[in-house]
Amino acid sequence: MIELVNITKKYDTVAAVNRVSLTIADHARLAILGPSGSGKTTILRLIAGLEIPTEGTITIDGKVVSTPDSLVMPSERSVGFVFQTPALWPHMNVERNILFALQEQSPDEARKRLDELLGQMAIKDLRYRFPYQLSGGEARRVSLARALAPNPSLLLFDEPLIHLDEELKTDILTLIADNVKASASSMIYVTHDKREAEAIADTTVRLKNGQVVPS
Amino acid sequence: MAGMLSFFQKCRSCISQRTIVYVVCLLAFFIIVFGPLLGLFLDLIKTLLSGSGKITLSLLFSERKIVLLGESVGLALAVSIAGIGVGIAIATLLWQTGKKITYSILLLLLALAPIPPYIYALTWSTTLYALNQFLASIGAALVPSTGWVISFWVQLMALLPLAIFLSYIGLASVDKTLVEAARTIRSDGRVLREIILPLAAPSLLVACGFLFLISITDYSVPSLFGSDTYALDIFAQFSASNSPSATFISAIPLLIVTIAVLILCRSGIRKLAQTPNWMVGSWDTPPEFPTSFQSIQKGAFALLAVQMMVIFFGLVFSVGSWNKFVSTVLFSVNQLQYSCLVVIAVVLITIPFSLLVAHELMNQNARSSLWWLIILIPIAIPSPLIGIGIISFWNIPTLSFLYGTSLMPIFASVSRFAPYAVIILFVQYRFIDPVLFDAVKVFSRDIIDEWFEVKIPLLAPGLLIASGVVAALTLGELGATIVVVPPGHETLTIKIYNYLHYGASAEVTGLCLIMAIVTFIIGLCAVSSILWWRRRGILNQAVPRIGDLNE
Repeated sequence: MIELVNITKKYDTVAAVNRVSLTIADHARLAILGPSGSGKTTILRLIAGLEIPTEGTITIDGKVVSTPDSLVMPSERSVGFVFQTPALWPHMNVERNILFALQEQSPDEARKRLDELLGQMAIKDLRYRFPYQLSGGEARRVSLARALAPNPSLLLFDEPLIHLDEELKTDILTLIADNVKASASSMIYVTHDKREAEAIADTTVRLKNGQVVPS
Repeated sequence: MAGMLSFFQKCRSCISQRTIVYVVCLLAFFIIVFGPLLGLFLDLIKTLLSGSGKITLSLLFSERKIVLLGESVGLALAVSIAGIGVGIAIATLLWQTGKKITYSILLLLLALAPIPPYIYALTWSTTLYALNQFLASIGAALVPSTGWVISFWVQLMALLPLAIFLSYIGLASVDKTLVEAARTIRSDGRVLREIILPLAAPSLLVACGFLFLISITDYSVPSLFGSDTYALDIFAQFSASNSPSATFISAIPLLIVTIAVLILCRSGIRKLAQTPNWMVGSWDTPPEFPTSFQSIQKGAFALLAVQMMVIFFGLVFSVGSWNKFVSTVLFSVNQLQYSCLVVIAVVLITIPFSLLVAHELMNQNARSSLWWLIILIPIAIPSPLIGIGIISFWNIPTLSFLYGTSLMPIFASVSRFAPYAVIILFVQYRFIDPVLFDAVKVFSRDIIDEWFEVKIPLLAPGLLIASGVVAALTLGELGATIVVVPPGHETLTIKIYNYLHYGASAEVTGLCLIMAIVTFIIGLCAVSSILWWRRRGILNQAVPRIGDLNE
């Protein structure tokens, strides 16, 4: 379970997130909906440990992971993050991009998991390609595979369909929904698109000016 | 006759007055910057055609030359690799501090970077003298005060501010999202090793190449510590033979090395200049590196602290009393005035021309790779060779009214430092949305309005920073100026360099202190202008263009 208690994040004097409290139960699928600049991405980054809160506490499974004075490093939080851009490392091919997330496992286990993910995402033929050789849709699939690879307890999606055309959006959204359902992970999905949020999440939270507002 | 007249009228209607001015200015720029090289080539051809016996293969390949080249390359390699190593350790340490501290330290380094290397030579020799006195008093072995090791050390210390700054830029050029994507999966130590360093490698290589070029073309530090380098040998060769062509021939092995390094780095310099997103390079949550790496970071930081203390205390304490300092200033008023005049003239010539070239670089897509190489070539030329080339090019009967005047040291600095101004102004162009320039074309009625109301204000930060950098570098220029300075004139740098050969005295320290203060103030002004414009949102993000990075 993830708990955000009175979380505030200020940049200089501007509060991007203002006293937000949220609870995300195990296996829950939550969508955070809101316009640009409402603080959606900042909340995801705070949960991932990529930002330090100015005020408040974040706990994951009862363990305090973020306060203004203490921080559990991002790699120790068991989160998978899908960014707005695929964020694939250009010096690694598809296989290595995914294997990088599997380095805790034995080589045999990692290979097995890699094959499984390549099959699930229908990108088996792409395993030796480099990011510059992939189309936008293919890169998103690799990015999703990488996030799912270590079976994280929490999956974070930061507007993963932004900049994609309608057809590809439907394609990738279905892929995300299927894979999240099949995994044991909780999910937080950030978007400004109401249809996307409804299609993928059980619960929706609305954000405006850094605060949770009634739906 | 009528046909000819109609041809000229046709030409006149095709080519606007503006284009003619533009082409003439570009041509003038290339004559000043590349005149020295052209002069050397022409002199060489003339000598070869006349069958002069002075030109022999021994100038190219004597055993002494090969050893000297090897030693010079070794020194430059050691300095550049060590500089980048220390730079990486300190740059990663800066990630662990707040943004304000990071920027303050980077800006301080930027202000320290233009302080000429011979000032470091002075402060380190003073420190070494004190250290050896102490070691002698306790009966310990003394630290060698001449030779390659001390030359390496002092050159490393002199280039450290620039090395750290370039390393930071190299590391920060890695896309932040790629780093964050890795941080959610792996520890920061592994992220650094497996993601950041491989991705930053091309930029770090450029930084290393840049330091290598500065180190191998400078002879002031090694010569002061009794080490012969190839760059010094070029100067010595000319002093002995007074033959530009023989000197040029003897410089060819060094030129092959420097131009090869430049070709290797050219594409990287261009990419870094095209995507200058290093302004937003700090981390939102501080990284946690392994203990062993933290020790390296602390060691590197201690080195930087020692470097700063040596330059500060070395100058302040050795200068003696306030009265001595004032008398030194008064004693060098002529040199100060002359240096100021040269600096002002260099800036006034370099900046407008460099702006034109930067503008031309923005318009060159398919050919830009070749353009970049041409623009960067002066960086790879050892400074004495530029001075000698100036003599070859300008010392002809038709130009005798210019030769032997103060224009020569001015042209020497323009030729050496124009590439830096072009790069800075190119980067500045990248921060401006091209739509703003398109809008000027639509709404402006005349060229004066276009430039003074819109373009110059938009380009102002780059213009000021480029002016600052060129001014600071010109103030410390030695290798080319010493060859071409007219009789009866002396820059502050030449005076200091001549005095330094007689050891450190209160007068020399006083002069160095003046030089350090002036360059630091120039650096500080450039840095302040960056901050001023950043606060106004002008220097926040480079604007990508269509066709970026296409070879």
